[in-house]
Amino acid sequence: METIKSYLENMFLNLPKTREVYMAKMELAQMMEDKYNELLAEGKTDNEAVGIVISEFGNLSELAESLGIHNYVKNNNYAEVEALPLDMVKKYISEKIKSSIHIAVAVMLLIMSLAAVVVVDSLAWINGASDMLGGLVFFGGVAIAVGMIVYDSIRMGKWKMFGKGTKRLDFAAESYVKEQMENFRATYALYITLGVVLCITSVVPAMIMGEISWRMNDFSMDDIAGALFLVMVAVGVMFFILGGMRKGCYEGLLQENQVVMNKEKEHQKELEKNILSVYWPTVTCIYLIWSFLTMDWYITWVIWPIAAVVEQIIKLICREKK
Amino acid sequence: MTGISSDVIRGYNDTIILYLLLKEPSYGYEISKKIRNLSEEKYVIKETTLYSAFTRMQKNGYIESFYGDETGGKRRTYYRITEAGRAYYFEKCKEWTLTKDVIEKFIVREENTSGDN
Repeated sequence: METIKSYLENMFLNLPKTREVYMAKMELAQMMEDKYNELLAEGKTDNEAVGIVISEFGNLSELAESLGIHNYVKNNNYAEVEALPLDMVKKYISEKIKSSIHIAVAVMLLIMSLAAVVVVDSLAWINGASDMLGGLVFFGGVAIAVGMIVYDSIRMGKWKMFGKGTKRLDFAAESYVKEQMENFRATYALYITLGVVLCITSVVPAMIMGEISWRMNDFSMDDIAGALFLVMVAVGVMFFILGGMRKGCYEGLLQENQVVMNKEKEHQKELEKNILSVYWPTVTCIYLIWSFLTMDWYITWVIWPIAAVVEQIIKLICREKK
Repeated sequence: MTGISSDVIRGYNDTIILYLLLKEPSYGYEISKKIRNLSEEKYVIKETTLYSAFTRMQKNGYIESFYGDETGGKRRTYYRITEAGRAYYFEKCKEWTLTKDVIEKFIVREENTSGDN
């Protein structure tokens, strides 16, 4: 019965609180409860009864005229909006997870190709090989990474309709997404923790190796330390992207309904989304530019934890405005 | 499997509900249960369809609502048919008979057309 109540609450959540709407909700609840009780009395299980009651409930748009919410329903496009079925949402989520892996690996590859340059250059200097090799490795890595990102964005092109508020989730799909998001919570925490730990500890090998190389008077190790630092940052960033994109996918799907139902909030959501979509790439650019200009790799990593805090502040500001 | 045509039935939801109210007042779930049983489970009316029919017919003066005293303590909304409702119902019956007669003339029964499936 709780499921039915929350289903009904959900349906009526965004309707104006008029007398007509209240009466409708009361009577629909009564009808559903009667039906539910009778199904139980017939020997159906709780799940079966809930399923039957919800599947036979009908469509809220039918009530639009009689409740005087016609304009409301129309303005919000709620009735006209196509509900996304569960299997489609499942497919989207699995595609989006694949996509998050592609992007995460591509970005990791980008940063690692920098590390590779450092190592190759160092080896080249020792062995007297050509400098060209470093450039070759770097651009090879960048080419593969960019290729992956382009391929992925083309592949995800057919899912563009998501996140625009032009669709909504049906009840089963919304429950599924909420459940998935809840299941992912622990993994997400792990990803972010790993990412933060890797970024913070990335300076440790550099410090240790710097100390060793200073004592042994062998400075070839510095390059390796620099490369190790980059590799750790790369893996850390990969975890950030893996966690962030998947969480964003769930949140985006759930927002789908909110966007459809709350046109006013849509603008704010859109603003937040726009800011955040360019946020991390910008931070990465600043990080790389700052690092390469000053070569102060030992300190530039602080941009990551700071950026994470700033992101939360931006989100808060965007939400406050609502 | 062929189901019931929702387009056709939509025009007769009011008729179906009024028929059930002819004898005695009733409430939401009881009406929907009777529709299911009388139609031998071929037509299951949605709750939203039923409720919108109630409000529409109330507005048109075909039915009236009142609170029934339930022994269980819950106050259900009951509906009773009005004189205007009765008149409307019999009007709809005539309309359906006519409609049915007309459509019948264009219907081919499957038994008579063997092999065409």
